Amino acid sequence: MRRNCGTLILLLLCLYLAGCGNRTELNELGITTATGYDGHQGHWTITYQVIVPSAMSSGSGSGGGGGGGSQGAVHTFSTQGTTIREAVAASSLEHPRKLYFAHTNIIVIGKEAAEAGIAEILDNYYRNPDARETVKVFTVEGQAKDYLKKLVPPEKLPGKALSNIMKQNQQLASFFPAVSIHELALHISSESGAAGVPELSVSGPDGAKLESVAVYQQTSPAGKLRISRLSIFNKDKMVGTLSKQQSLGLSWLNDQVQFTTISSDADSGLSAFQVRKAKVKVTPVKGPLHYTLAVKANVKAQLVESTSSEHISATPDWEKLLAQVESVIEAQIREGWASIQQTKLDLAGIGNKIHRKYPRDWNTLKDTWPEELAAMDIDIQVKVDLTRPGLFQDSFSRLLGED
Amino acid sequence: MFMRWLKKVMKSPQKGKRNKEKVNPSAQQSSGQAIHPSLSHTRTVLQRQMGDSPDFIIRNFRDQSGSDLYAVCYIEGLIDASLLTELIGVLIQVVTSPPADMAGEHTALSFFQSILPSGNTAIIQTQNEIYPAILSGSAVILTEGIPAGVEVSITGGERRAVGEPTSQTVIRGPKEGFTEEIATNMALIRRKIRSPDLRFVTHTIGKITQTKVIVVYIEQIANAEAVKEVNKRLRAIKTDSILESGYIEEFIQDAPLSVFPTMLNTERPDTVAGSLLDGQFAVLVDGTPFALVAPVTFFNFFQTPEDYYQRYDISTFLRIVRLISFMVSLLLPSIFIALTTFQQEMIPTTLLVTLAAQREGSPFPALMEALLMELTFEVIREAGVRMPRAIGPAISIVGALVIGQAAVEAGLVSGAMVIVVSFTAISNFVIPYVDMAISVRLLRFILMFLAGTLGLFGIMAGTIPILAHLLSLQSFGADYFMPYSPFYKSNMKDLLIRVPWWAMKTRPKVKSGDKITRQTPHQYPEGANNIISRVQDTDPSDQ
Repeated sequence: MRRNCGTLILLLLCLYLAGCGNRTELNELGITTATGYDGHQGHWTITYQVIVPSAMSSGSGSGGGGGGGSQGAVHTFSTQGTTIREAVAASSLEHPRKLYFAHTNIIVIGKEAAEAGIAEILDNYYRNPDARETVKVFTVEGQAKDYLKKLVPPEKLPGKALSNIMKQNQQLASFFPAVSIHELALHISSESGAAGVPELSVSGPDGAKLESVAVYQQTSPAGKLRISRLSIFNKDKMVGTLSKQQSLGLSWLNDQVQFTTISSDADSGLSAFQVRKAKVKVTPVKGPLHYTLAVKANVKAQLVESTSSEHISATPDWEKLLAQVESVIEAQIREGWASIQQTKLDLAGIGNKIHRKYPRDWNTLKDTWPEELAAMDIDIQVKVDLTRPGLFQDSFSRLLGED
Repeated sequence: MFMRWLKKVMKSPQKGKRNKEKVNPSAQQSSGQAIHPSLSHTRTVLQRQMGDSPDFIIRNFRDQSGSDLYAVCYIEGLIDASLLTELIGVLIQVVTSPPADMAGEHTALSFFQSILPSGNTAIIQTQNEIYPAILSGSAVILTEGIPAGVEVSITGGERRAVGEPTSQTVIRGPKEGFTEEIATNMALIRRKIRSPDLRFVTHTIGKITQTKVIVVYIEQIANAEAVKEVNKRLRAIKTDSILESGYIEEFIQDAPLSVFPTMLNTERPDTVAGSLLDGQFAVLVDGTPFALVAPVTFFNFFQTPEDYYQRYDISTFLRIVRLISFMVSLLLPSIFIALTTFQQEMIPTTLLVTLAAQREGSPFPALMEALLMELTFEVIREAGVRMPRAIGPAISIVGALVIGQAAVEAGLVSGAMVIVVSFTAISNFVIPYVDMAISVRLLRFILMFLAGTLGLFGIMAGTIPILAHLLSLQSFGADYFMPYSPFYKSNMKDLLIRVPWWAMKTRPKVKSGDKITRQTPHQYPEGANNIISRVQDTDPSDQ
């Protein structure tokens, strides 16, 4: 009996040996909402934007309304090291909490790091279980550490806010693709080997003011963080940037447009259309000399605004509007295509499609692929289904003109 | 291993006791003496045996010459006063105008039996039979010169009236509960089931207490094997006292060391009646309003009698709510501990930040915090039960509020933990049967330790053995998880969902006996159709 009791106690103690050591209380965690990468292989500067939980709850507490702006909800600091993880380990020299990356919303890659190559960052994300591959990726014009210091008023957590901005853009405008670590890795490791990543910049003259909590007391801060361009990557290195319009064209070609608004300018007046559903089919067709890209876009849209003098409720004029939208979309796609041919980077994943469709040809093709891409023709067919004119028929301008 | 040791410890002395006690009652019986013909002799023997107890009364009836004729003995508090008066009246009549032939022993006794005011009479031959008779509330009439007596049952005395059950209340349904008096309880069941097939099997258990224990079942509807088994187990009990049905439950249940109850106890006659009609049996014990019901399954503990009186849809919903509450009450604190100390990545970011903000400056680890709060709650709860009724609820509410709020404001525990603990406690009260609620309370602490040391893995390592244990249990031949494992499709209609009564064609399998059919099938109410047909059939007077 005594032996049994002894064994029981030993077993209970084993429980503590096995588990209690790696227990982490919530107040021992430094929850990182955004991580920044600067530098290059052999010399990394990692920046962490750590949530300060006590500052977060001040809004709901009874401590008084004025106290909200006194403490920032995030704390940002940087560490250096020869490798990324060494830099993370160095954080223990200056930060009292264990850095916790499972809730990171975004990673920001500085220009230098992006141009030097991001393979090491990706490896770090895939190798470690505490880092999620669903994190959204951004690049920045200058140094990532400068951007992580900036706040995104009126939101409290900049990291979270930026990832929400990305989500909003994808759902409401589709200008830039929301790219996660995993998607980025898939794109750059595929046959086409190219990917686009949204780039952050500071708009307005006074970016430094965003680094202070005082910015929350301003109704309209002079500067703001915003997504401005698309950085393009060839393999793991950043090679250039594209404008918002070029990026939208790429979104069409990649069938990433979910919801966007298009303005068409005709002699009869301006009109705005809201795309509610778009399906773009891109197929490479083998020709005698080169491949031709057949693009078929099926778009469902509705009229949301018009100053047109056309008689909207009449079928012939309605057809005219349709033709306008179709030409605008075609022009956008063409702009995206032009940027692909210019940079000779397969940002629409056409190489993958050829590889899948004509695997034997691809073997001979892939060595000269950039040149082949530049020589390709495109055949665009846009079919717009304009479903609703809205609650109003002819435009208000036309109504006034009639009187 | 620990369980095996516990079993060994608990079994070995029991065996010895049983053997010893088997000898005793037989020895006692053999010493039964015939009643002495001399009344005065019997009187002194009785007085001595009862230790000159003040409530033991012997009334003598003498003729004019002063010689003894009859004596009536009884215990004052156990008999009904008006019946006694009637009995004495009869005896006085016999004394003043003695009937013609009272010569022979047999004629005298049968004469008494015919003129007495109670129908429940018996003839007593031995001295030892007198004691159980008077102790169970009968009067015994002894006659000078005859070596036998007549036992007349005039049971009565102070007892509690049938009232509303306090531990299992309903909004809709009968408001009567069992009392401490077994005869009343039998009558309460009889009034609900007016069938000659209703059976009562009496056992007298307890060498000193001589407690009446009655097994109730309905012939053919009850599972005959289970009834045979319970009678066998009841006969095997050799103890000196039974004061409550809990004694019986511990002696006869299938899994005596399990934290889960394998017999259900209820205070409500309608629950017992419903169980009997489902093919279960009940055990009534004299002196307690709580009856035992078996065979039961795990899911019986989540069904209230009200489920059958309310509409089927809300009953179904409430049953699911109760099962969820069971899970919450068992797992919520441990899941909270595991997630906040090990698997933080599973909490949504915003919630995590809120929780982290509350934990800023908390002095204790989450496990300690949870244990402290749970223990505090258990203390308040126990105090609430033990305290005098007038101040009990007030103190417990104030205690909970003050300790909960003050602890949060003083920064000793986080607000989220108070919410978790109090929600767990409230969920625990949703389980309709206290027995099941208690077992959850105990297991919760084990799971909290496992969660605090091993995280979610610990919770899995705790729940899998619990589930395996539940699946291994049996209650009088019925598997504890029965309609699911083993699977019986026809039992499903009264489990998580309760189908309307007209669709409940059969009784639950395994639990019940041969007569499985409950009612005629296809009794879908025609009311709605009638209205439609009335509208469609045009009334000739309209035209």
